[in-house]
Amino acid sequence: MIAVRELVALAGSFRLGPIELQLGAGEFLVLLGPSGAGKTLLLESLVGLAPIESGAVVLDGQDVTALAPERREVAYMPQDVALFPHLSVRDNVLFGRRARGTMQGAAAELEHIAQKLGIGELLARPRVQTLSGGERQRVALARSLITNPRVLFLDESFSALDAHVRRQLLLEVRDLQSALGLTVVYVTHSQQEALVVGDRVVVLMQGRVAQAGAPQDVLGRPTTLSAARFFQIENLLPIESAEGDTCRVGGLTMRLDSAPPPGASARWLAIAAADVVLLGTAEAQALGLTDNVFPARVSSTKDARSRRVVRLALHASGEQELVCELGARDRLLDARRLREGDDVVVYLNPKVVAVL
Amino acid sequence: MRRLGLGFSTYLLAGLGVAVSTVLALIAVQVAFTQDGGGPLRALGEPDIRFAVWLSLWTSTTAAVLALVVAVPAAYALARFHFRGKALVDGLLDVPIVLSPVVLGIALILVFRSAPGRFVEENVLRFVFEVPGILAAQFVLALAMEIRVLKAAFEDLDPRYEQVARVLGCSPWAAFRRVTLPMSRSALVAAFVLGFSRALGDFGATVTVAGSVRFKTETMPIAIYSNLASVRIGKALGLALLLTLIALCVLTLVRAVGARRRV
Repeated sequence: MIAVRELVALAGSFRLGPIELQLGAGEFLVLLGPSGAGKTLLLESLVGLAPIESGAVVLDGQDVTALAPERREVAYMPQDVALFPHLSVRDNVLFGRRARGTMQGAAAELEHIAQKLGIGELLARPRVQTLSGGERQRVALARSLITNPRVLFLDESFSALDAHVRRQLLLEVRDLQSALGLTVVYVTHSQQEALVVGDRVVVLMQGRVAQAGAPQDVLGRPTTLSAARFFQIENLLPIESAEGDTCRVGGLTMRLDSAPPPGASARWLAIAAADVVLLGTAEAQALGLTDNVFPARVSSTKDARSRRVVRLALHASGEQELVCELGARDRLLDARRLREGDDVVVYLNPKVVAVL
Repeated sequence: MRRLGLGFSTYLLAGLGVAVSTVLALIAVQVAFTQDGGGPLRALGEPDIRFAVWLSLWTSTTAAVLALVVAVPAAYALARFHFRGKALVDGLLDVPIVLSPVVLGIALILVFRSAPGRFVEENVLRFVFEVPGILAAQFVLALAMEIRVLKAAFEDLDPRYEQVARVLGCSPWAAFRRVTLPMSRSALVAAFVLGFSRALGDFGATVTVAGSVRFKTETMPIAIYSNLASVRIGKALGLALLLTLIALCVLTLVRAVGARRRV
């Protein structure tokens, strides 16, 4: 288990924290955030490679804040994996065991891990320079796992690989993590990866934890404007006024799922394009929808591979535009195919409208 | 390790070309002087010349090795750590490279004539006009050269390797010994060879500190000058030929090491 208490770290003029984190044993935590958010600095602080200004890092109940990296019994895989070029593949994998003087039983564990990662044949290679990108990651993973770490820290470790290999390796890591009951902290800026492998997601923005929770509760559900921009929420609408569970946006009255907390300065509404529902006028009437139903006109449409992006102008709001994304199912049902100038009805479910 | 990449290789090739031309020129001169019965190759067998060669080789090797012992931690500290006065130290280390060797020799004599220097001279080891003086002069020259080469190599080495080694269980010293040093092996060889050749070829600093006493402090460059001044052309040319051949070997070795580093 990892507990991070009020951790503050500095890198030049950048300040990370204070960070509070709690991670259970055997959990897969994804540290998500844009470039420069402090993900790597946080990871290096936890590993012991970056000095911290204040706070504490606790591993399995032991305060390791003052411990050197070699005494924390963790493993770390940086982005470029840093295999040692002067050592053979086998010596690279066994490096940690040799360094710690725990070679007893290492051969059997090496066989076991090599088999799990499919690198058995690679162990005989005298030079790591002959390995492909995916093979290098696997070897580096084996080098980390064979030390039986309390926590495995992965710093965008697979980002240099092409999408297919990256996804495959990530799923393998997830399987290994489940099988071995390993605690993993994985740094990435990919929401998709966070959704696929994470038990929990922590979103870092400008050195602070912006959001934390289960991936489905966090991803696409921003609570700050910067998080909304990072999640690439297409529709960010400025709030003109708010009262109770309604607000005015571009001259329209929008009903919210719940009233913003008292004292909160609600300034923006964030609505993902995929959450914007397009209906025909008759269809809207048939469904009996009254709230958050707005007439609109199609400004433009653009087809992507598996989706269709439709830009809409809301009639009543003058300049207000909305972006709507039609998925494959919508497109299948969209027999008449929307065209520029078509009149439609937009429905915004209050549950998908985030107040920032 | 890109700093000793293409540009370095180009300089070495140019150096090889100059060296080969010099050897050819010397061979031509050798033929011209064989009539006086004191040919350069025959001169290499004479006792004073053999002494100078042996003295030069062992002092240069010792100075280069000792310099390496100091240069490795110094270069590493300069490459990896930030400390107050780092720029000043860095600049001072360049002084032996840009300064005239004679001036450097005078500076060393001033050191040995200072109170602590006198104490060392009188109670520990005599340097001025003695063989240790040769070692001191060559050490300073080799050290500057070796620190430059090693600092560039350490700066080019991604600190990630050491960080990963630390997390895998190495102490800072163990990470340096198991990862940094082996990965800098080629730079170490290059630094030693360049330091050795700088020490071997020095005339000004050595002659200023240790003088020019035959069968005592006369190194190869000093012997070349002395023989030339006494119109013993055969001996001077023999030594010049030998120094050129050594330079050729050094350049070839450094080039081979450079090629390995780029693999």
